[in-house]
Amino acid sequence: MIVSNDASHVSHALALGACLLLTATSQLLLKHGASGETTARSALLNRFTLSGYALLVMVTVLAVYAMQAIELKVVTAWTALTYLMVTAGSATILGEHVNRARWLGSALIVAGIAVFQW
Amino acid sequence: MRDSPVALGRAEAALSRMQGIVWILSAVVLQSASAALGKQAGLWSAQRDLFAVVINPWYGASILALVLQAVVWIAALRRLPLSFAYPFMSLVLPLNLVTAWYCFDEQVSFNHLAGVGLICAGIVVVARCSAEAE
Repeated sequence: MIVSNDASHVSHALALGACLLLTATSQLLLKHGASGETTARSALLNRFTLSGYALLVMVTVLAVYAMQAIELKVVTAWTALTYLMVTAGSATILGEHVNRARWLGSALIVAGIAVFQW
Repeated sequence: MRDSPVALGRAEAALSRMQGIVWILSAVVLQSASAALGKQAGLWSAQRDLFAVVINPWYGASILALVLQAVVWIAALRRLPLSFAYPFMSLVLPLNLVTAWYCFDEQVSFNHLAGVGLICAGIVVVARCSAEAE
């Protein structure tokens, strides 16, 4: 179980899920914002990069809320899922080539989370 | 006897590498500290209103640790290649597990240790692939 059966903790589990999703989204935005920009300033101050950093700030707030009820060890393990989400997003949204070794690494992470939660 | 320029260059490179490793390990410790402070912020705010999530000294300390981690990480990357440095960040997981057990009295079982071991292996593989691609 990620959290106890108490129904009031569903919101904390949802906050953790949002953390993972927003972290992965922010990485894709940061990558998109950094690509194709000619100067360091334009790479840092375009709307994609700024949106990515804004999402990361939201993630810190949601993470604190999630950890009101979820154990640190559980949050740490589930956070690793962002590696898989970023890999999937890189392949499907950014159209990057993802090799087999990277998929293998992502599969190891998912297996690790499954073993952790067993 | 005076050292040759080549020997001096090698010594400087070795020193820079050692400094880089110290910076990486500092970044790992700061990242883990940020997570622990975030957990403490969660516990502190749990019995208070919703604004206590952000108006919270522990949250401030957690963000400060994260900012310091970013600075230290850049210092590490100036001395070492990303492909070498990034897999070290997987050390944050076992460190967080120890922190969770020691500071927050969380139970740690064999499954937790095995799971974190697999996750670390996966992160190292993904990080290596990402760094090689760049």
